[in-house]
Amino acid sequence: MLSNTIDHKESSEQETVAKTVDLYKAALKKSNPAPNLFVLNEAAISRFTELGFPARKHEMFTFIDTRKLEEAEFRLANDYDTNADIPGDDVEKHIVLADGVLSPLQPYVAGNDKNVLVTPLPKALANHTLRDMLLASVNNETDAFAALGTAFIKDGVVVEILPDTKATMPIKITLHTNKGPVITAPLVVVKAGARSRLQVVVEETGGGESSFMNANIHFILEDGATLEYLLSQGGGCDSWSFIKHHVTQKKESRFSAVCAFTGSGITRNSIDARLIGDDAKFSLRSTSLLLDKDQAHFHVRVNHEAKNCESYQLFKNVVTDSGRVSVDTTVAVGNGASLSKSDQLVNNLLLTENGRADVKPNLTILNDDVKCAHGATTGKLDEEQVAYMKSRGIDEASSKRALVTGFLNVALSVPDFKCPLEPIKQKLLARMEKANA
Amino acid sequence: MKSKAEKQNGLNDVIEDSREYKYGFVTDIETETIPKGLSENVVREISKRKEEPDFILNFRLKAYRRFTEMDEPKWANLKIPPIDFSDISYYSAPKTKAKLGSIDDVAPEILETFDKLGIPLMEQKRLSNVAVDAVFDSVSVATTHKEKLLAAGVIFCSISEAIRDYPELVKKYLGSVVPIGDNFYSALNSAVFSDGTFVYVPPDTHCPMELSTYFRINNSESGQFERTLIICDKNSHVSYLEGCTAPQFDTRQLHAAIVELVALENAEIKYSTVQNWYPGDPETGKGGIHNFVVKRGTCLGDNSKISWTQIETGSAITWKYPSCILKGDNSVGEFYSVALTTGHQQADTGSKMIHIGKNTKSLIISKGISADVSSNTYRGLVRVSPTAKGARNYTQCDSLLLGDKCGAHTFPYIETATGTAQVEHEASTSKISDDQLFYLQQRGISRETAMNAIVNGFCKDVFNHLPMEFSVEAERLLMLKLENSVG
Amino acid sequence: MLKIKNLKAAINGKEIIKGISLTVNSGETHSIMGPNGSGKSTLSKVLAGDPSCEILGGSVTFNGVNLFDLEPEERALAGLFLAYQYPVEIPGLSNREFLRMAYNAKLSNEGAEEVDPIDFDEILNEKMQTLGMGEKFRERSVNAGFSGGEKKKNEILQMAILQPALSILDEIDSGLDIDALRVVADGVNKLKNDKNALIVITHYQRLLDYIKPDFVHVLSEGKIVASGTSELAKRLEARGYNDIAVLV
Repeated sequence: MLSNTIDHKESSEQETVAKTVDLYKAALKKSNPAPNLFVLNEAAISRFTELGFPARKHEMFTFIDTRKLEEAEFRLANDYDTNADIPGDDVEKHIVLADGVLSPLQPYVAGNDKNVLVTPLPKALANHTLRDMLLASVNNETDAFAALGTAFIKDGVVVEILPDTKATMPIKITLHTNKGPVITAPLVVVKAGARSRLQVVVEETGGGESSFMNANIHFILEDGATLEYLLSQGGGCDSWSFIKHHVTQKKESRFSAVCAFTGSGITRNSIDARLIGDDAKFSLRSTSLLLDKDQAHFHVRVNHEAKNCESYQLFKNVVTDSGRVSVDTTVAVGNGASLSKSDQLVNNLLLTENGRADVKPNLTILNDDVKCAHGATTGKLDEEQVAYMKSRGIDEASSKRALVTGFLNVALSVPDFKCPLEPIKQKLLARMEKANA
Repeated sequence: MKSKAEKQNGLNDVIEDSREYKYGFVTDIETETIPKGLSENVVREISKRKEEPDFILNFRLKAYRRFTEMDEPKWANLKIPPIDFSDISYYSAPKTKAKLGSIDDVAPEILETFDKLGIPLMEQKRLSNVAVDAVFDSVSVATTHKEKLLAAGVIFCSISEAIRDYPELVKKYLGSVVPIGDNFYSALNSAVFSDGTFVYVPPDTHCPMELSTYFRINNSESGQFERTLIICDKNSHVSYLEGCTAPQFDTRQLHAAIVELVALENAEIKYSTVQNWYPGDPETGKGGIHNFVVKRGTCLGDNSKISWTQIETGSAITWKYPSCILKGDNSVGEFYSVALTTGHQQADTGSKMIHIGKNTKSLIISKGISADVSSNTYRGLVRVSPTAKGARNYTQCDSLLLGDKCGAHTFPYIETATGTAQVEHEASTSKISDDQLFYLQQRGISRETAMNAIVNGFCKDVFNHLPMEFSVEAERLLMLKLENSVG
Repeated sequence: MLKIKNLKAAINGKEIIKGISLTVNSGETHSIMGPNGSGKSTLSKVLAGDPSCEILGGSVTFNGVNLFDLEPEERALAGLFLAYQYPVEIPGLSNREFLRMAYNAKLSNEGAEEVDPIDFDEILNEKMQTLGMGEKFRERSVNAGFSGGEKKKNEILQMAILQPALSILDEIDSGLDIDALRVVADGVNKLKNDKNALIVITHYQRLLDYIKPDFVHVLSEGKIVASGTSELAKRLEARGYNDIAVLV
């Protein structure tokens, strides 16, 4: 009977919530957080309980099979291991959050910009403005996993650039997860002062064997600030990587993001952007190459809340094997947000019969003085393009590889972008080789 | 030909009329109405009054049981005031006992009503190239040109007659496209459906004329639950049009119909709707029709085609998604829609294209226009199943906003589960272009006329798909509606 | 016919026209030349009543009526016609329907009876033949999918149908090859008589070989810096706009 199944489902979701709350209590005992952090954790777990574990039918999670997450038995990660082998170049110059815990900051702080302040989260929370901002954010959270992430925060980092200054080099943040089944919840807050310019590079490393990284990243852009952001997401095989981005943009600020799926496993990249000041500009370019059973899910919401704001979104996804990609993106233009402009473009290449691509490009408009457009395509490689290249003497495999690379690179050609895109291109190329093999 | 002066007057009359909803009058006629409320006994009573065979009674009872287990869906982008399903009468029919299908016995008041609506039913006045099935409240009162159609082998009658005269066809196809338990309203309709239209086009037949049904809700307290079933057999073709109006009442009326289309091999069905139900008071939003309709067609045979065209201008709330299930290989589904919302109207409409067969194709062209304080939502699903190798879809949905208090929303769901498909979606939302307005004004055309011309141009792709007789009508309807709102 | 006195105007809050005076009489052809950004197109927009323009000062009368008191469509009905540099596309509205609407608006303004589609087609056919325009111009949507040359021809077709008193041709030569330019210019010349007037805005002297102006004005930074006969245009062509100072 239908009603029985519903009951069953509800009870299983309630069980999961209960299980999670138990795990949360264990985490508290272990980490014994500072009072300011404890307040935040508590608010978050109660918000998570209110929201409940998202069922498969939940609009925000239509495309992700959350049942496996529900079934997984996670344990808590150990504290930061200073001997942890964290991959990457010049990792000593990075800010590293390993299993949600901040590494000693000496190398970074000693190094560079005097105008860039890097503060460990517990210390930064003594500033009640920041604490209240995070509390307000979690109390209004609609995404159960983002709330869950905040509940499990035991450490994090706050990066701030002072007004009217420019960073001399990108700030690199590594989010590292040891092999599972652990649950980790890093928190990053980036504050760009008025008229400042800053680049932030976040790279995910490690993961695998049912590790579950559930991060929250906040960006606050003051008037006239420019922030460039590069994300390289995806842990090891069988890993889960959920990142929720909270972007708040004030007057004349520019947020420009490039997100790349370069690892493997199941990722969810959620971005909530609020353009609350006039003339703010938001742009997002995303590129993913999915192999094996990889999944990349995007959930984006851009709220135009002030006049003359612009938003731009471009997704380039290539799906091979049994990969799955979904893009659920909404541009919402509020009543006062006149002269809004927005563009959403999603292009999916499905290279195998078993691949799958789901797209939901939504628009919700409550103002008449707007120009909003969206487009979505899903298809295979253009046979004519392949034939054209072959007619110039290039073999089929090389032709296809070149076309796919070109397709992905469209999202990586960003005029005047100051974060290093070359490593991302290299990673994608390496994955392409893997796909060919 | 009419003289120019006459034409001018004619148009002025229409424009004068349009200040108010033109079809808001009530016909004073004695009806036979079942007391309000819904129960198994009511369902049995409806079936008994209609002298139905057991298989229909059982169909209804099964549906009723499903209905009691289901909840009203809440996912649409609509603010729906709660509906008290026990405060609706589920059967209302004109009392004058007319023999099914005989025009001579139809009450003169009803004939007059349809005359007034511009749908003459009497022999001497009928449109010569269009056959009409007239549905008044719950009952089909007359069907024109029946004999001529039968000569070509085409069955065109009320569904009640079909149940009596062609039970095998009804048994085979009723509920085959929209299953009883498909959703809350389909269960409700399946339990209490009153009447509706039945069409069967035999193999190798091009239906010799346009078929149409004209729906009229008259009773203020009865819901209207018709059921339309159209079957187009192999290598055949039929074009069908549906029109709707209702009187002006302060209370909301429920219209929950089901339309099922079945296209067999090489068959083509073209289904057009010009919907002009009473939209409620434009100032207060009081009254009007709740139009919750399930329309779905199955392209069962290879190379079959179903094409939906809709011009939605009426109803307080519209909630419908004419859909195609593309089962047959190479089958084609099309959806062309203009949805205009003014005053307090709300619409959540679009289409579903479910690709199952190989090389199936679908096309969705949707044009939404919102004005005043209305809300207009496009919601569409394109699903390419793993079996639908080589499937293609193209979707274009554009919204035009007239006024800063209205809303336009676009919610497409595009699901592709095979790498051999090609799916494209384009959408835009904007206000009417200042550059276009100024260009027309610079040529001496007034702002209002310019506005109408641009809106009409915006909808052209859809109007072009209506049968000729109705496309001019639809254009004019849209313009009149706009004239009332864009002031 | 047209009297512009010390006109100042801004577009998007930026002052572009900084005090222009100009008088155009019946039967005259004036040419306004100038480098990019000198305010040529803004002037034409101001005269046509483009809502994006803001009048900062001065006056313009058209046959004695204050132009600024008139809505854009009233200016058109009064006989002022602007041929656009970039004609606007209107998908879904057929060129024929559009032209008939404009023609009937004019008739009805003059108190004459409007024409029905059949009668109008005769008028349209004749004009199209004179301008050597193919059938496709009739059924296609206004300017949608037209080539640059086709759009310009379509502007002249409108001019032919509306028979305006004053036509302002805004860079009608831009984007045209020599053959198309000749066709367009011929069309314009055929419409010219001693009752109407022309203002020809152009960057290049080339157009003035085909449409002969009585007066040439050079516009620079929002002001007329030189006026003269077609000789002036020739000198300008020879020395280029960089040398405007020499002309003044």
